[in-house]
Amino acid sequence: MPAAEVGLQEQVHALYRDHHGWLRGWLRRRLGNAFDAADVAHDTYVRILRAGQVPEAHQSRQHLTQIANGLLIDLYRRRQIEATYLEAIAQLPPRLAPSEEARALAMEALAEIDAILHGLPPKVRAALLMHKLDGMSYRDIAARLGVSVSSVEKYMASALVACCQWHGAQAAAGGRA
Amino acid sequence: MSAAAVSRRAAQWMARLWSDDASEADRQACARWRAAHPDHERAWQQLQAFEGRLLSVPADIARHALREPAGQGRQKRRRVLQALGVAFTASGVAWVAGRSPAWQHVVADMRTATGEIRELTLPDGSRVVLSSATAIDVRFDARERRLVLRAGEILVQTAPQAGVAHRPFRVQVEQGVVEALGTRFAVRHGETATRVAVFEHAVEVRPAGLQGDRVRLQAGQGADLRFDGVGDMAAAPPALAAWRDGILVADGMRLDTFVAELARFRPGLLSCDEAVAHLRVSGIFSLRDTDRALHNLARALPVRLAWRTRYWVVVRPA
Repeated sequence: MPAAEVGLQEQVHALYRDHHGWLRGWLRRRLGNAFDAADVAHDTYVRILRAGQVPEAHQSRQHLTQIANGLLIDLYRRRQIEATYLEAIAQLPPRLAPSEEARALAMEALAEIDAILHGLPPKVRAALLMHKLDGMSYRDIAARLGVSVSSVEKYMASALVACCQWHGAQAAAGGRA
Repeated sequence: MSAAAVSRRAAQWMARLWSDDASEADRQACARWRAAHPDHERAWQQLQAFEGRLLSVPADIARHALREPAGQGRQKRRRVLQALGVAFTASGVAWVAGRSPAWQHVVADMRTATGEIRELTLPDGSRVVLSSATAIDVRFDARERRLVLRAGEILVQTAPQAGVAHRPFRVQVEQGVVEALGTRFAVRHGETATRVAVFEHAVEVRPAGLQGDRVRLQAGQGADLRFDGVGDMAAAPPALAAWRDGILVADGMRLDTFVAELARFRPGLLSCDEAVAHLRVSGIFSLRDTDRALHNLARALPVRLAWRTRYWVVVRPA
């Protein structure tokens, strides 16, 4: 292990030792349950470790809460997607209801797609969903959105670029996605 | 080629092949590009996997979860927030008009105090949530259901109409009229412009100064209604209505915007120093306990709170 990496490990270890209990408490007060709090606290430290930068000692808690707040937003979005999905399948007749495993996979897929599409301009997001979910042609999408057909092709490309970027960021963050 | 350039090229190829007029020559050129380098093929596989996941969920369910901005229904939001442990205070107020024959003609003025959030069920079963420091007049008659928004912000969930007579549901503001087309939407009063955000179905907005002019807003869209037109179209994510549950969802929100949002729910003066106005805030904050929200803000960003008095707070650089 290179010296720099050893130094980083030690710094993160110190950050963990000094603030992990506090961070978990802070998250537990916000989330109201210890399990999610422990998960988010864990992910916060993983992010720091992967990012390879430990904040100055006097900024530790500020830095931790900043990252944890970002993860809380992700969790909030994810829970919303899951709730929407569960509501949608609750309306299916019992014989069509997906298995536990299929549910887990679908929620995982939806959360990932949402995370990728989140933050894209509304027209880009809409164009991709119209094409993939409604099977609309570029021409029809162009007419619906009031843009040129070549813009629709550019929208598709930028949605797909966002997908690559998201995977790149996940790999860099070592996230659980 | 850098990794970013490879991704961009792969995305362009896929967008090309999805197009209606993709030719055999396009397909062959794409195959040659993929074969030219393992990185190309890897990027392509990643995109194909994404497409596969997008198609793996039945379309109507995926549509529901992804397009209809997530977390619409009241129950659902409640579940989500409970899952996140956000405390709930029910504040439903029953409407008094009841079933008397006069119920169709209701005239009432409702208002909330600063910091108060109140939900009402209207005589037709529609629901309206009044945000902090909000005032509305309820004007229902045989021809229409009209709310006049005098101050603040409301979130409306219209009820389906029973019976034959169609009575349009309208929200009137100084700058014009917002008409529901069977829907859930928010209207925020402003001096020069009123902000309209649509969460389900659609609404039609009509500026007062332009006779006959109307603009239709669909779910997920928002816009500013001015006396002389409709402008500043923008996305209306469901988080915009999170105040209804007493929380503020900030996702990279500018600090000055954040402070202004919080100030709506807080008695007294709350302002933000220009030096920190540009900072970005992310997180979920309580609107019912703005002291706590401010306290958490000071934890998350390099800012400090200057308390002149209990009712005069300035957010300054740390």
